[in-house]
Amino acid sequence: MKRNFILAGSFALLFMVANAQKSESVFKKEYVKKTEIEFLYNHYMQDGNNSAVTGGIGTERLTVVAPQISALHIYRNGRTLFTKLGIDVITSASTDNIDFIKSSASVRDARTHLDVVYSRQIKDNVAVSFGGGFSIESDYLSLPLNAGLSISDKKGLRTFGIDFQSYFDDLRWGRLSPSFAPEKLIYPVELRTKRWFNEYKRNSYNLRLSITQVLNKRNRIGFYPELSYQQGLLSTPFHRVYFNDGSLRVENLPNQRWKASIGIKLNTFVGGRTILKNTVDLYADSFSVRSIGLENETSIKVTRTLVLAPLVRYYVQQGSSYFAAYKAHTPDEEFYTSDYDLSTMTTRKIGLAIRYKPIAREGKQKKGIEISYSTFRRSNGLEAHIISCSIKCTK
Amino acid sequence: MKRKAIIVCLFSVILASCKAIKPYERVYIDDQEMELSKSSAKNFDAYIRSIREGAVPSSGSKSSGGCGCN
Repeated sequence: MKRNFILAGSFALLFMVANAQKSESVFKKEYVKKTEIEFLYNHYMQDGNNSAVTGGIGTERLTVVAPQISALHIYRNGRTLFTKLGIDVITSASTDNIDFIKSSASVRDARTHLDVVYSRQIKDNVAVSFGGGFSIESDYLSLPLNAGLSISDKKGLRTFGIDFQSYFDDLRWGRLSPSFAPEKLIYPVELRTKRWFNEYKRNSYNLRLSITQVLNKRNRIGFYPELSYQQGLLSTPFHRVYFNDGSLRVENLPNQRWKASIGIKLNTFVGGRTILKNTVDLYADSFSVRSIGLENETSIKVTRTLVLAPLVRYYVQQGSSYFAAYKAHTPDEEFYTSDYDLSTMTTRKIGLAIRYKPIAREGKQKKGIEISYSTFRRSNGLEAHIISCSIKCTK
Repeated sequence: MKRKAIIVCLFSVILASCKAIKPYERVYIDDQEMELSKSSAKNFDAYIRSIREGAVPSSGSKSSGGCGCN
């Protein structure tokens, strides 16, 4: 009799558990329809005296004005569509020296870029995304394609993402000319008697992983390993290189490049108002460039709506074995460049961001404004300033 | 070998420090400032860095190509 009671009780319990599970499985996640529009204005200025266009000497003065608009639309079924359109207007004193005619056509350029990314949930915690677009300027056309998968655990404490990106680039000049047709690679004016490269395409493939984890109530960490492969014309055809025997050639770099990097981010909430955002970036590639970057941004919540975020960054780079300064290369070298972006250097950067986000009433449009300024100085004397202003509206 | 041991130790410490968090304890973790993703302004910054430094920053948003040759 007692055994029967126990059996009946066990079945009843199992039935209850089964019912409870069933009721859980009926639960369906619903998304709130949302549209987010962001207007972003970026202003970049730099000056230095090591332009690669003039062989590692000469002005690097450059101004980039880069307005951008983006829209993110989240549908009720969880699908999202992200679109971004931007134009970079570039005024460059260094590219003006391709032909030595002051204020010639090469002094000004514009890059127009469009990116579209579509993503959808294929399961409750699994999303896939696909994207494409273009980037066009007078000497460059880039067609990016990408696909990604992201998985998060049910509690939202851990995420895993994998992204594959590919870029198909064409380095021929003339896309923004009146005929709108790419013609040929542009070499420095005094080196146009010879065809230096047979290739004009550059393909890049990136495999990017992301693993984020909530460590405890106040710490969140992220790991971002990435592997890239580039193939094709990796030299810039209008970069000059002067040799120690007085000869002059166009920059020549290998036509393959492997890059491996990992970024580690740790966000820590300290006390009730301060968030420390620490980042470490490690990098190595087949051009023998090695680097480490350390960054700290400290967000201070001044009020519920206002955040001040000062930033410091220190970057150390071991330069490429293909780099040498003006007239330091020997003529027997196979690969050579005087591009100081590939030189041994350190960079120090400081900045400040101000974020203001007024509290919106339920159902009303939410707005957010961010203004940031940063400046960095490279050990070779290059100085740059970046100003950004973003206005975001969400409904 | 020594480097591998350090990496294994580091990961062990990180994994050991992971704790289950109850929904009412997520006030700090769910704060917008605790997000690991970058803002659009930071993406432009990463784009500049990918040009002015030989290294391409990991998790940087290279949203589209461009020669960056100026």
